[in-house]
Amino acid sequence: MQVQGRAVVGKGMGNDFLIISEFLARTGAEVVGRGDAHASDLKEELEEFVAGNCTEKEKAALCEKLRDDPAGLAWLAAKVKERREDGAGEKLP
Amino acid sequence: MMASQHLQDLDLVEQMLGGCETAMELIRERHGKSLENYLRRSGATATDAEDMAQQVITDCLMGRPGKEALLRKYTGRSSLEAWLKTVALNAWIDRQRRASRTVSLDASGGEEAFGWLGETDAPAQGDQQDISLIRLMRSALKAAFEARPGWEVVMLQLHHLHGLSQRELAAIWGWHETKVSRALSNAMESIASDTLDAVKKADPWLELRWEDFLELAGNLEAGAFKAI
Repeated sequence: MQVQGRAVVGKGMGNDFLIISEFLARTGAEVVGRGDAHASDLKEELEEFVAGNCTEKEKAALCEKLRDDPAGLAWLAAKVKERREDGAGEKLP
Repeated sequence: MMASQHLQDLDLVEQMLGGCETAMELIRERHGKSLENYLRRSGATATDAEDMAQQVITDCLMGRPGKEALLRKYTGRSSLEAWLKTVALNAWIDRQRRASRTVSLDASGGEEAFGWLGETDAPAQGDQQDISLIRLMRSALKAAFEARPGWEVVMLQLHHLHGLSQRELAAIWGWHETKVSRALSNAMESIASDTLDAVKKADPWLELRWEDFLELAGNLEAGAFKAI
């Protein structure tokens, strides 16, 4: 797969992401920042997000907060996995 | 578990460090030309590539006065070829940056020409010399990530780092699974492309491909960045 004639990202793009994430973590940078927000501050919004109830605008705004909030992102992932175990997370819209 | 290739490489290096001249010649023969080709592909002129490859091989095999052979830092965690490439590219970037700054200094001649000395990316010396390549890669990646909208960064992380399936992402985003799949691919392609653009902007003479970038990033553990 060719991107702008130079960058080539193929089937291993997941691996690409892991390699660069690991690189950033080991060199003192991270994919996400270390914002002051806490998962608890966003809990209600995250629950709405997990339930698939957010508008496009709300999702975009929430994700801008989450990119600086690793704890919030981890909480969101855990919540989706909980629903997976309950059998509620795999439904398609 | 270490790949068998790396164990063979490590064995060869240990033989060389033990004084085996055959091992030394084997490393020189096996990797000298490939390093030269790699540097040429990375943007070096034929003369620079040949000169730099020979210098790196010599430094790796024999060291310099007062400095041990760089290969003493090789641990076998990556292939010897990948390790040497990282050492060579880092050395070449340092050389190019020093050269361009010297030209700039000579051309302007005034006090302003010393401005770079106070910058964080001033050419490092001695043990600090290793960081040019890391700094370049890190800043290029950070710029690429910062250019992406939050939802792309979040979606990539939820999928690749937290293990959520595309189906699960589709459910919470309210999208069809194929749209999520496309979004993930496009985001990763943009990051790759923007990263290489940022590298090019910082060092226009450097020709780095995405697979080279990944190989270098994956070699961090190998200590090659710290070799020179």
